[in-house]
Amino acid sequence: MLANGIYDLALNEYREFLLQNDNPLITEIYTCKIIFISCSGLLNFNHNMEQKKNQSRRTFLRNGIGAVAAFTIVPRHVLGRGYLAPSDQLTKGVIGTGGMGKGHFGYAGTRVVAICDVDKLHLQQAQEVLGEGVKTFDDYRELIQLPEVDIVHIATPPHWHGIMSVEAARAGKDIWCEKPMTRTIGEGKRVKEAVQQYGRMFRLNTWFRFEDNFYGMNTPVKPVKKLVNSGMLGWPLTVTLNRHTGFDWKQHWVGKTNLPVTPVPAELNYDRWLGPAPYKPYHPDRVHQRFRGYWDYDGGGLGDMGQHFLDPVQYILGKDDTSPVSVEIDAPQQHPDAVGTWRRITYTYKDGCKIILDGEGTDEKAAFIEGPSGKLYPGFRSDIPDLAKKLAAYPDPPPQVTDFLISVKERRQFALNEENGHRSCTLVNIAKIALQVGRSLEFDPERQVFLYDDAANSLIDPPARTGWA
Amino acid sequence: MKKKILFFILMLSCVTLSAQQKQSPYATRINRVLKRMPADNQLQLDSCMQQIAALGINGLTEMACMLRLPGKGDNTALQYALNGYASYVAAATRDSLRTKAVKAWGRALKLTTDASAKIFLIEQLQFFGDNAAIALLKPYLQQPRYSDPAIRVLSQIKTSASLIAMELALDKAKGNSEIALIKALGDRRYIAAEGAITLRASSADPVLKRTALFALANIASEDSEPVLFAAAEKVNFSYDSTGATAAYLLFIDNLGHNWPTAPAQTAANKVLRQCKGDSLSHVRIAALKTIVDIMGDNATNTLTLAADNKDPQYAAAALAMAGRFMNGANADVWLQKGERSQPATKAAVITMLAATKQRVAISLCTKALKDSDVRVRMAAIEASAQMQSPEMLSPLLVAMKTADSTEVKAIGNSLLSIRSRDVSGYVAVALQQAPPFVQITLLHVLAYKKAADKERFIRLLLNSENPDVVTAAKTTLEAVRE
Repeated sequence: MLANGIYDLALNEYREFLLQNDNPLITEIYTCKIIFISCSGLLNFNHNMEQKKNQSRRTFLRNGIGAVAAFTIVPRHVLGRGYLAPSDQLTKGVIGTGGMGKGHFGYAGTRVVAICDVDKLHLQQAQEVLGEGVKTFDDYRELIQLPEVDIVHIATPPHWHGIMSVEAARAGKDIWCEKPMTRTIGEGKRVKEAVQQYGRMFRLNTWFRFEDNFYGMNTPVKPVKKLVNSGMLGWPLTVTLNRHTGFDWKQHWVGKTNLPVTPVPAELNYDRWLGPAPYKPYHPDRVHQRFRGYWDYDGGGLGDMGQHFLDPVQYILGKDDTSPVSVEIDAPQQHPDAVGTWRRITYTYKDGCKIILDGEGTDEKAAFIEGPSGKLYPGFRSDIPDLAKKLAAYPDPPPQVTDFLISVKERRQFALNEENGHRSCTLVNIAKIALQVGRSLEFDPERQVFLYDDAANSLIDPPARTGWA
Repeated sequence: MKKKILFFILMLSCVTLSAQQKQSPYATRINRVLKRMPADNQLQLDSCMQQIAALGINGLTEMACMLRLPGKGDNTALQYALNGYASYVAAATRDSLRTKAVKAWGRALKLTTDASAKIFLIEQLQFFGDNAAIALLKPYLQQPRYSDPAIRVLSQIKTSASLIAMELALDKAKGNSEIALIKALGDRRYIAAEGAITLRASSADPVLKRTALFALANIASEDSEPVLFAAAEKVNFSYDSTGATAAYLLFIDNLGHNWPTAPAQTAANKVLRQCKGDSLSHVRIAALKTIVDIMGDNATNTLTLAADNKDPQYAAAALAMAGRFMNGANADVWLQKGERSQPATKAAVITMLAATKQRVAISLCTKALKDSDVRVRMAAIEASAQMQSPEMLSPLLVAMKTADSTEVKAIGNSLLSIRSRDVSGYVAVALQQAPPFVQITLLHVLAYKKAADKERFIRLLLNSENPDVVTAAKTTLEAVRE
């Protein structure tokens, strides 16, 4: 009790101090004081300080569970928004330094120490942003060997995500991977296995299941999940994702056919850019910012936005550990190389729940979620009277670990991880396969194979090109 | 003059007739299909594919041979048609069409000279290639330009004949072809190729060596253990360009799926003994996972010991594994473990039991809320939210009286997740005897819950001596009336 009293007094003193001062140096000294007070009785502070001198930063973080618990006695928000002591920072190696990679350099609590790109121009521009201290590579395998890298951040085109994630796990790194998680279902299974085999933390970087307004729904996912859990809408549910419910499918991400052969720019190692993808002659449309239009690297608007849109829906419906039993498509025939458009994709789960992707927005009156007992529209509008009031009585969904730094330091599974991420990416990938083979398909969610369709199954885990190695 | 005109017309008719005779009997039908490419929907696609099927082997061969050189015309419509047909014949119940398609593809491959057209045709065989396609692909297995797509197709055919074809090709293969063949044979776990692959596992070329080591790991024959272990030991079980350590760990994991499982367990234990350093935490974890996977439900004791390991990553991984094997029987073991453990482990056990929704965790959490260690208390508070159990309502409200500000806030959040209609009732009662800071938190809970039926309890706090409590009570009253 006494310790708590001292702690609370110190905390109040600190709060007032923060309101009066914004000098970072003084703030840091004060922060140390608070930490010292909060740790007294729990840690022998002087002894630990002596030890700390002999520890590497990485060892310090590795042994951090106890220390982290003690340090987090001071809530992070009390220290000021975004504040983090340098010793508390995790280090990142970023693979892929184009627009996506550069956009992810500046996460609070992390520091980029190494970057990798197969385009010298990208690498050079990224280094200019980060300064000379950062190590640069054109082979990701060299980056992931660095002992000073805690987290490997994968911001490459999707056809690399699976291979790099597996290799990073084998090297003992935690992984921060951009969406879509993998280009194929087979790669997704391997990522899940490797991450779990090596005890790594994996974050898939789409965040709508726990943060921010869920696109045009204009509401975060939490109250929607709460509503579904309450049972007020009934069961089974149908979710419709179209422009009227707030979701733009970016149908402009189509590829071009009959591409002329073009010389490879000197700054680009095209063979390594292709990596596991089948060799195709170079054309600028295949790479940087335009690759989404080709099946070998992604899957058009569905590949780009699919996991952003579908992952929260999977969470809302409580389908994080399963997959649909069928996928029906209404789409023009697809070219074997260039991704085309589609009109409608319908997933059906074993219990009758459906997810409808309405690519052309034909269903203007569709509710975002429709159940036998009610409907929910964007802006949390509903045909259930006094919904907000009724819903207040129901419990919130269980909390999730939504800070990857906590996940890494305390070794707790992140909210969107290798397991549920693989399942939501499977939603994207089974639809891509149905489009590619040009027919609706039945899927076995346990074995993760299609029923009675060799062509579709040949795309679950197509053999990769090996020449790039 | 008339004679001349008649002669000219006669000649013209002969030329036209001759030209018509030379024109393929399939050309018109093929062009009709190509004009409809790409099909707009599945119905139209099926109709087009049926028209292609009606062309027969000769017609299909002719169509496949129409692919033009790059830059000499647009192949788009043909690519749609041929790819569409490749997928079409691979669907169930179309076996006879599939057989004919393979024959047509075989003829077309012989007739086609352009490399890009050949590669396109070979790649389509990935969808529908079967044993009959193996003979077509054999000539390409050692040709640098075609070996990659040809090996990918053979790898997809997945029959013993396709594996034998690749094994035979490996003898003379070089460069990328050799690497692709080794990878394919490894991926398909073809034990007959073990000897040939083992020879390459000692190569000085790191890419060849790496491919061979992973192939041996996938084949998972016990005979490969010394080779794989030596390679991993040589690099001190670190990560290197040959992937020796990862290959060995993959090997013992695959070996664990065979019977008997003892060799895999022995190998995993050997890794645990040899890998001591901080930087090898993930290697130890992988070895532990193999042991746990083999032991299944019987691994609980192994995991309870591992949870006490000084390496926090290893201990946390052990608990994550325990979570995957959790059931009613071993939950009791973990309960006892949690009760007897040091604070850090106790907190982790509570978190793990709650994440797996084990009811036994309720009693552990109830006791943990009174623990002297803040980590244990916080774990119990968070676990209460995870389990959403109404039985945690009272213990949480009692704990609030002696909790610090962080814990009070966390308990307030946990109360919102409890699955019970009584949350507002319990909170309203607890409100009266709580310290001011707790009262404010509980008022927030009632406001969030829009507990209009608890207005009289809230009103009582309008008389509080603490002005912050009065303000919070007023705000709460407004919120519940909304």
